[in-house]
Amino acid sequence: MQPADKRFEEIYRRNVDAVLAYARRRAPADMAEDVAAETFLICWRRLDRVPENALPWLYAVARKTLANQRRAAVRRATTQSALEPSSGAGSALAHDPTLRVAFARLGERDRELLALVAWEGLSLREAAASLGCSPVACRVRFHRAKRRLAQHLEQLDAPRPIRRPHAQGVAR
Amino acid sequence: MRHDDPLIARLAAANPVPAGTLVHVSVRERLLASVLEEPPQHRGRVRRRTLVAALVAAAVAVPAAAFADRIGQIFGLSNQGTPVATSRLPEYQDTKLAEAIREMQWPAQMQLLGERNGVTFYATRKANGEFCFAMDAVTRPLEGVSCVPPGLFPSPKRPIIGLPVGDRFNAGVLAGFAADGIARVNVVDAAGATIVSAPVADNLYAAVDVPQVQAGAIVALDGNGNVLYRQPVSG
Repeated sequence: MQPADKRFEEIYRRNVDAVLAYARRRAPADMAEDVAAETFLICWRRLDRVPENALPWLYAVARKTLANQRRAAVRRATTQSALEPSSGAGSALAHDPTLRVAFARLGERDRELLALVAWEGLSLREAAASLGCSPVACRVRFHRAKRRLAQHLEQLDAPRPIRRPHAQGVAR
Repeated sequence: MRHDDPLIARLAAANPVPAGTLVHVSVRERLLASVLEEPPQHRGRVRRRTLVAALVAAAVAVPAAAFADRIGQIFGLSNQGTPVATSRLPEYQDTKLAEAIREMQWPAQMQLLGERNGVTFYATRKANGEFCFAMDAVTRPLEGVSCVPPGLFPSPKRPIIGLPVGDRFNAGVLAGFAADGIARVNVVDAAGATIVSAPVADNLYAAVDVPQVQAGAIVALDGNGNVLYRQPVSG
């Protein structure tokens, strides 16, 4: 076995589950499989650029591949549900509906950073490597994203009432 | 991985696709072997097809439980009521409120769940899964309609919903909807003493003439008197 083959095998064995899970959390199943396949193909072609800790790099490739797939899907005018950025995450959060709605209200950057930490289990330093930002900037973004998520959760925990202007009762 | 931050821990707990559970080992081995056995000069487009095919096969091996909705954990609401037109809500007599209800995209039909102590209960579920409810009392100005996010009610997290949620009993009414398994809803003071108690029948409860006192919490109890849910009230 060639050294490159061996290295690819190691990267593949160690990360295939994580990459497929990453894609599955963010996209419909069929798109997720394509994304994972494309990610490892790029990994093979650019093996010399893959850092020793490959997973953050693979996530970055998968994220860009996912964005490309979504753009292609838009051009093909496929079903709207497949195009929503949070469609994969939304189904993943089905058993915590308040969190699902709050999470969906975040911007794409906030969602991705929080998901890398909470779902992919990356450290902030690894997340920074995946997102291409400095660890310090990533830490600041992380705390801001958490604060925004907490604010959305706070708003959602109270049902939205509408009342008669003169109503004395309180619905929440 | 353990998360010390409660918010990140909650987000992590909502992840039903844990790493390491997706690709069946035999599929993974077969895929890798097929990739590495190809002549190097043929790698590239051929590999991509191989990877796609293998990953599609892997998807078949995904445990169904990994993606299953956790319906079993969610409390039910047995009372399905009878369909009535949404336009019968008193709010529809107020132009602005009728407009607001339409903006909330209530369906044209809702379910009349019943009447308790002069309070009439309506509910509906929107196409997006939101649970919407309304209560109407002929003799009391407690009207109001509300919608909650999909899955929030009925659920273990919120097995009751209704009036009041704050500590204000201006209308003197404790009324609402209760999930299956809830037998009684009590309002207790800060010391835990019961101020008012409403039995639940067919998922509905209503108590009127509630004294104007500072409430500490609303609690939901099962048939044995066990507290299943406690909702502190804020001043």
